[in-house]
Amino acid sequence: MIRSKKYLIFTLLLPILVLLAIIIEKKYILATGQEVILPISGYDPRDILSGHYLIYTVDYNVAGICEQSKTIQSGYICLNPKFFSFTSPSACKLRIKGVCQYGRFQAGIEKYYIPEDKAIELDKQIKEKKASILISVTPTGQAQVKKLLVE
Amino acid sequence: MTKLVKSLEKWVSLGFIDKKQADLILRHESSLSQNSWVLVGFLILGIVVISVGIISLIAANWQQIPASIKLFADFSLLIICSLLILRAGNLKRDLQFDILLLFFILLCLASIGLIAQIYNANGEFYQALMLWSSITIVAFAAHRMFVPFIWFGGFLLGAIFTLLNSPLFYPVFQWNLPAVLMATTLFCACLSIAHKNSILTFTKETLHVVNIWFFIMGLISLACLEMEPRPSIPVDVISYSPGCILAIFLIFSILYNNLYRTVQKTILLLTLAVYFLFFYLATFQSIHDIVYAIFTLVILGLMAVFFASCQMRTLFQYLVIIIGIRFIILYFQALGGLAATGVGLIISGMFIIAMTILWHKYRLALAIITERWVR
Repeated sequence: MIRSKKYLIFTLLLPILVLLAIIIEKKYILATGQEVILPISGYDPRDILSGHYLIYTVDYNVAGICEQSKTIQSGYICLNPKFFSFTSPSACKLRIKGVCQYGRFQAGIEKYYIPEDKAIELDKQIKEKKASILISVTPTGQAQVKKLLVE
Repeated sequence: MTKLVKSLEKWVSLGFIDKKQADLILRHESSLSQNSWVLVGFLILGIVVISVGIISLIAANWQQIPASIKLFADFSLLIICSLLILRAGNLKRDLQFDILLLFFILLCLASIGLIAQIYNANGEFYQALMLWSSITIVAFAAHRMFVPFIWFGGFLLGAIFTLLNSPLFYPVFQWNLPAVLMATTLFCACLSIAHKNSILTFTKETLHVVNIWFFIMGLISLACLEMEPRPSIPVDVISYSPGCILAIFLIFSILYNNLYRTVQKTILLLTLAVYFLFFYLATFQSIHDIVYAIFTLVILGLMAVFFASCQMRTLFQYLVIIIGIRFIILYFQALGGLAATGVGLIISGMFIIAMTILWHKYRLALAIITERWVR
């Protein structure tokens, strides 16, 4: 048992401060990043903790993504000009940082939370390839989903 | 309290104690906390139901309410809960303190879900659990065991799924569930023995929680080994390397522990050896189902003897029950089709009744005899 009041206050504040820090980081990416629209295709499972969400595949329109990657390896997709690299590309004006996992590129933007009543309709539209995502990308390559755009 | 009053009246009538002593005992017991386990249980249930309700509301994805309002409400609730916890601590209201603490840590989990929803954060459930367990160490401020018990359970669940699913750990564990469960069981054992060797210092409640989870994880690892069919793909021995490293730590800790007697050390080391042999045979060799049962019974029997030697009677008795149940399952495994017949079922039923009566009548004597034998 934590007997000291000082430690009790510290351990009570810890989760609040950590969660605040996570929010500030997310808000920073959304506020300062460059906006990019990318087409997607996908399907809809359910997340126990956060409700309905869509998982989709992002169409970067870049060749050779994660080709010959090891089990897990960092990777960068450069959108201007378009190419893929396992190391941080210096000659790239807009890059997205991610991880190659078993040949798939994951940048943390492959999931979007949706209202339960709109889940089926949105899932259908995405399967018919009518959707894209608006993301915010920082100069270091961190990307955050801003909006789901549907025709 | 009614039970105590009846017992005291009976003892007075039998002449074990006099009326004055009975009154003194009753007065003393009355002055202690009256919070029965039923009260605590229902309060916990209420808190868990509220927490599940909050999580469900989040899961419904309230698009009508702006994200900023949701976050403001969430953090307000966290802060108010923290203040109430501090207030309960100052007023020495232990039960209120613990209930609020449970609500607070579950609210933290709900907050992680809310943030993930609002900012479309990618991540698996086990990653959320690991984040949650790393920021809610306040669970160990509780006076009772149920809050750290829930925390430890969440931590172990997150750790098991992380070791299984995270690509970072694939080179070691290779999705080998028995290896992960073995490592987790031995991790709990290491925590317990580290306290015995004064490497780590836990409170009595925390140590109980660690021992209980060691017990649970041990049973789960044995059950998994029995139920999981032999891997269809070759499993590398490297997946058991974390378990081996933990076992080496355990061996040295047991050998250099001054609190255990020689016979206790022998029992522990023998249990560890049989446990590892079981995992080796189950994973890399082809063995009969009955052999699985024998190994499980031997391991459980050795641990029961060890618990008896430490006078941990509750755990000893639970293990005796589990050994009995495993014997019944072994009986059905051995007889197979015959057990499904009427005669087989009648004999099985009589066997169950006989074991139950014997356990009920002689469980205390069995514990005492085993303790003396080990001494």
